[in-house]
Amino acid sequence: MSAFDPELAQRLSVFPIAARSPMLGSVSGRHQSPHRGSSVEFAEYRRYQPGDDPRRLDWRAFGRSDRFYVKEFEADTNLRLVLVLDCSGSMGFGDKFQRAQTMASLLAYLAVEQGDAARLVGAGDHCSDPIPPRRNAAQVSVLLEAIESMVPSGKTRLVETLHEIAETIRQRALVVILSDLFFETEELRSALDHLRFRNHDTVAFHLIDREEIAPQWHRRIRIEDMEGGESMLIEPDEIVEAYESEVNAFMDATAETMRQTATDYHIGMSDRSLEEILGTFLSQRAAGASR
Amino acid sequence: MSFLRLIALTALPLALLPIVIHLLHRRRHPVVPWAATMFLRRATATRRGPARLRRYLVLGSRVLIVVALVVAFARPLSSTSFGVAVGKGSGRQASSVVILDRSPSMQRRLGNALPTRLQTATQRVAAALETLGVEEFTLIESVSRQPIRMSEPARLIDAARAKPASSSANIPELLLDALVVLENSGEGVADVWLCTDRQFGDWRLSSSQWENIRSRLSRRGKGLRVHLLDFGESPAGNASVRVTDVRSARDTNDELAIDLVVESDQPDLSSVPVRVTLAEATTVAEVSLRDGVGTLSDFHLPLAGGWKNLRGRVSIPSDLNTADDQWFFVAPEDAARQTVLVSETDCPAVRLALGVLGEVRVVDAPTLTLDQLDSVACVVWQGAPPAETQMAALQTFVRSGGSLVFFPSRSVVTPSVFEGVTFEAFEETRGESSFEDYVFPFDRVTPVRGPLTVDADVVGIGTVIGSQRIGTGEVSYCGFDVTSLTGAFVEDGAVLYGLLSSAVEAGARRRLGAGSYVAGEELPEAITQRSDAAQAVMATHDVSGSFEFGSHAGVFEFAKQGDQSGRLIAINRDVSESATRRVTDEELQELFGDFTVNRVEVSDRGLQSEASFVREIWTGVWWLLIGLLIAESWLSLPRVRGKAT
Repeated sequence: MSAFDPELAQRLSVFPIAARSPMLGSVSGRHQSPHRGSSVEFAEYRRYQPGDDPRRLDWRAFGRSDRFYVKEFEADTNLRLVLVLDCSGSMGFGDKFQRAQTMASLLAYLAVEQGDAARLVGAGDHCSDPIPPRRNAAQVSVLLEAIESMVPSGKTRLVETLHEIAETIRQRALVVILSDLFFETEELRSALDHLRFRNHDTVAFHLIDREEIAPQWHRRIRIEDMEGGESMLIEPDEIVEAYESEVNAFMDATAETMRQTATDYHIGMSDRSLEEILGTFLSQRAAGASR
Repeated sequence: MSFLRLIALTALPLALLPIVIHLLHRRRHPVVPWAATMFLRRATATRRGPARLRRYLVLGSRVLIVVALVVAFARPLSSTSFGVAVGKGSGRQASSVVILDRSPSMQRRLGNALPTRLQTATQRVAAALETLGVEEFTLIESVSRQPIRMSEPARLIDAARAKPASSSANIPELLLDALVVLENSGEGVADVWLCTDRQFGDWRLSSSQWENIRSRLSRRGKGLRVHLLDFGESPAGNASVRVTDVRSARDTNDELAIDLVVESDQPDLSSVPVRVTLAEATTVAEVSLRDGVGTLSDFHLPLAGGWKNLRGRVSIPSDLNTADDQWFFVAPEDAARQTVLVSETDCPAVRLALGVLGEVRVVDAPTLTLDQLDSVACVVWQGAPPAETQMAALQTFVRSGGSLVFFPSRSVVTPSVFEGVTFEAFEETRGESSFEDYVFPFDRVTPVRGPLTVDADVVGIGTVIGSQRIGTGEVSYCGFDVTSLTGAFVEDGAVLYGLLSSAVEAGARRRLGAGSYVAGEELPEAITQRSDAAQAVMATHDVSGSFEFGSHAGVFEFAKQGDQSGRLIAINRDVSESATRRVTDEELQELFGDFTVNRVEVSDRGLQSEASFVREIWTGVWWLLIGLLIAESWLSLPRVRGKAT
């Protein structure tokens, strides 16, 4: 079954994917650029300097002040969307990875649809190679194919992947992380700080299955780690209370880390619909862009 | 702990079931792939201890619940000592024998307003037997000692053979009877309930039967349990009375003189009022006590109605034991002057003298029996020494107050006549001697040798008249020939008559109480043969229609029947029943040797609330079970968890 849901994509397309900060795109687009450009939206006057295009001189200002001014306008550019999909073994629990695949494909579609470049990076031991950013319509099918080909297995490499992204992608980009974040929060903080240092707009979708937060164990079971061969025999009565306490502490620490690193943090609990999660994200972004 | 349904305990291994299930549960667990193992690792490292402890507590409580259930099904008893009799369900046939001591000491109450030892013993043993599920048991009581098969334990309480009696118990004989019954019933397990106190006299420590009992107990081994009721130390507050002598007053024939003793276990008791009832008249005398003992000597009672049917009772106020608060006595009128003459040849002088003093019966020596001496004041024996049977009868007669006068045989000389006293050969010599200041002649005499008091002697010959006290009676020895009417001693006659007269007089006076017997001891054949005709004139217990004549205290009257005259007899308890001495633990240990006796404490505490010293303890087990179930449920409740995000 395809991870892409065209009907959901249609409903979500009413919201554009907007960045919280100006983007540095290679072509013009619908996103604000830090540079001045030739759009219709006036920005400011600036004294003429040698080398400026004489066609941009404002003769009316020269007539009023007898000085040469150049009229500058806002520049619009395109957005680079970097989808980071955690494909470690832990994402295979429940339907987390399927939900992550669907979200990634929807975001990829929406980005390409509005003329932005979309890129896919898998974070895991056995993920396919990164898909470079493209703006053309064919990129959608390339991305969808790559997304669907991913299988959750092995240990997570999300932190390393985020550091690599921060190092390799020079231009500002919208980095969307789709992961359960089941690793040390301090490591995550380091990676997110790195991304922020590079002026990337980072969004984290924290995908968690409800069962993982409040496990319904009724008897003695053997737990096998989905990211490795480790297994442990547990007695529910002995462990559940402490387990849930640890989960709560983890969730609090993660939220705090996201706040400190200015990461747009969304919890994708398994009992919430994808439309609700993505709709919330997109509408908030759209509201922020209009302001 | 003892159990009524021992077989149920074979299910005890079921207590391991929770552990087995737990172990199986440990082995059979599903494997679940899990993503968030990092939280499990952290949780395991920090919080596992208390939960593991709780889990083991749950397991422990489940094991205990199963144990409690099994124990409940086994019907536990409150005492640990009744396992042998509880053979139901164990496939063993159990026998129960109840030995019941009905003696006066068992009629002592455990305290004021509390039942007697006998009542307590019968009630609680009956309750215990019912609790133990005993349907049939054998009763051996101290009066008849006949084993009686009884079917319902509750019937023991009201059984006629469980009522109080005045006779003492013979514990070794009773135990031996019980062991014989058990041996005859086979080799199964058995319980013997020994319902007796530790009255010293009843236990007969010197009885040769104890060796036999120890041997039989040893052979029986652990299949037999002997439960001895232990009444402990009784509270002080009991006194007893007994008459030690009944006689006619020395100076007048119209009064009766009695001696009595009052004993109390309260050393600080200063006096006790004693009611003396003679015929229909009652006199009260205050007897002073010192260190718990008081005597009333030579207490005169007027004989308003003469000597006919003279019977009486001495009593003190009721106390902890009413069985020793009375004493009965009789003074048969025809016992006053009866004499018996036994001689190898006719002794007309003696016969005539006795005829003057009272009624005389001439009896051949070989035919003399104790029965013939029942109401006799004096026996005169002339001739060869008595044979063994007659010797025993005469000894008993003298010990009970009778007078016995010996005269030597004309020809036979033997080393000993009676009680170590001998007559030597006659000497034909004339002379004089004096007896009570009267000088009398003699021409044929034999010296009397032996342990006696000299009443008359002759220089060069020695003692010719002597006497000795034996028991309460007296024996006189006269070394003169009384077979011929021509002898100087007989012709003078004064000493002969005086000697016989004082013997008859003293014997009659002492033998006034000769109609008194000890309950439970063998009665003369003349009485036992007529026991059916006995009517109780005075009695401690209601003995109407009693089949146990001779075992109850009282005054009994035999109506005239044919040529047999009517008479009264008094039966009293053995004086040892009032003694305060008890058999000690050490003495008990010595009596039973290596055999362990289960002592069942019967204290006055708890008598009101606890009907039996063995009972099923359902309540405790069920409370334990309920407690364990609650504990298990509480421990198994899901813990309150922190709220998940």
